[in-house]
Amino acid sequence: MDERNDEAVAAAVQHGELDAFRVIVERYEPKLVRYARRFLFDADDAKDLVQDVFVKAYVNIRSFDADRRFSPWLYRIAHNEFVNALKKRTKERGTMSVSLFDFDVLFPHLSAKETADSPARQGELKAMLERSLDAIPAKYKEPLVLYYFEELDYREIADVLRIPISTVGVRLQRGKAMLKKIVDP
Amino acid sequence: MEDLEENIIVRCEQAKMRSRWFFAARSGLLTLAVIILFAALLYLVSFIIFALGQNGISLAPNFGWNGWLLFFEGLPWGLLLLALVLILILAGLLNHYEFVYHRPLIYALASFVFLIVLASFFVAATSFHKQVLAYSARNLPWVGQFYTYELQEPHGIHRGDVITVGSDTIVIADPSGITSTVVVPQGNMPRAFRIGDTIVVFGGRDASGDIEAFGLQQMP
Repeated sequence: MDERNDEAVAAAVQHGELDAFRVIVERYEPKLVRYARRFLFDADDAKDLVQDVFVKAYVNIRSFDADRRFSPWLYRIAHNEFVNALKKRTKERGTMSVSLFDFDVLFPHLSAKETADSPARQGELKAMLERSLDAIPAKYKEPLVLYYFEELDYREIADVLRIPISTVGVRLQRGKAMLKKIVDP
Repeated sequence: MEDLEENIIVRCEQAKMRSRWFFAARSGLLTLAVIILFAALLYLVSFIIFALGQNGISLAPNFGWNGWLLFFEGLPWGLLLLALVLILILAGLLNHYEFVYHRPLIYALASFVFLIVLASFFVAATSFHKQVLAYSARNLPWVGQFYTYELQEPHGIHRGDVITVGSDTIVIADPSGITSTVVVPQGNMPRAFRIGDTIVVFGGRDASGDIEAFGLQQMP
């Protein structure tokens, strides 16, 4: 069991230790498969895409700054991979559910401060999410998944999605409101 | 899960890790593209401001509703559209930087526009574009043509040197030496004009080719 943190392991990979990358795969593979499935994919599709995510991460590992947290960097690669796959899929089906630009990144939002839910409330929200995730649009689903299941903070989610920090707060609030409506119409 | 892990490791063994130089070069190219775009925008916007001053359009709003109409008609819309496209491309490039995408896009756009317009006013106030115009007329004909095209008088705006001043008419000569008579409404003749002054006249031509001025002003 490697006791180094993710950033130290990633730094070792940057110096050519392929075995260290195995540690990263062991730590993140279940999380990324779960993320992919919650995001939008069926099981087989999710596993193929997660493989691609790891290979991309390996090829580009030297662009990672070891002074920063590793997980947002990896989730950013995963996000891009999943969005591209979704675009390809919707194009093949002749539908377009991935918007190229969202107006909520354009303007400032007032009610966007990071708020800590109590553990009980978090558990309740996670359970609600598990039940109703498919009914929420991807735009709101992804921040909810990253916040409640992958435990990234607002800033890290902003880095993954390349959106303003205040927009992360707004999407989480709106996503939670949608959840409530779905569960308790 | 074991299979998935093994597949990933096998694929990674076959893949080639990119070097730090690759990422440094990519980052350098991004920075270079931002600098080039910023310089292009600075040139373009300062040229628009310079052109508006040179052909007198910037003075048109001093003459009421008709002046405003001439102002909007005379704006170089093609160049403004090009500037807008360049600003959007610049915003897209800058959105790779954390300090930009962490904040609402409107802040970044407003900041770029403010910075570029401010810097452009400074550039337009220098002799830069006059020197480019003079140089390009001799050495770079296609740049010279661009300047000549953009600096030509818009419809309803006439620039020239005062040749004679009458009680309600002025005769002006445009830069190519062609003279025109300007008819000024009674009582509206500015007293300050002297022979040799460069003025700009706002108004259309009548059937005889005279300019019926609704406004006229000395060029700053």
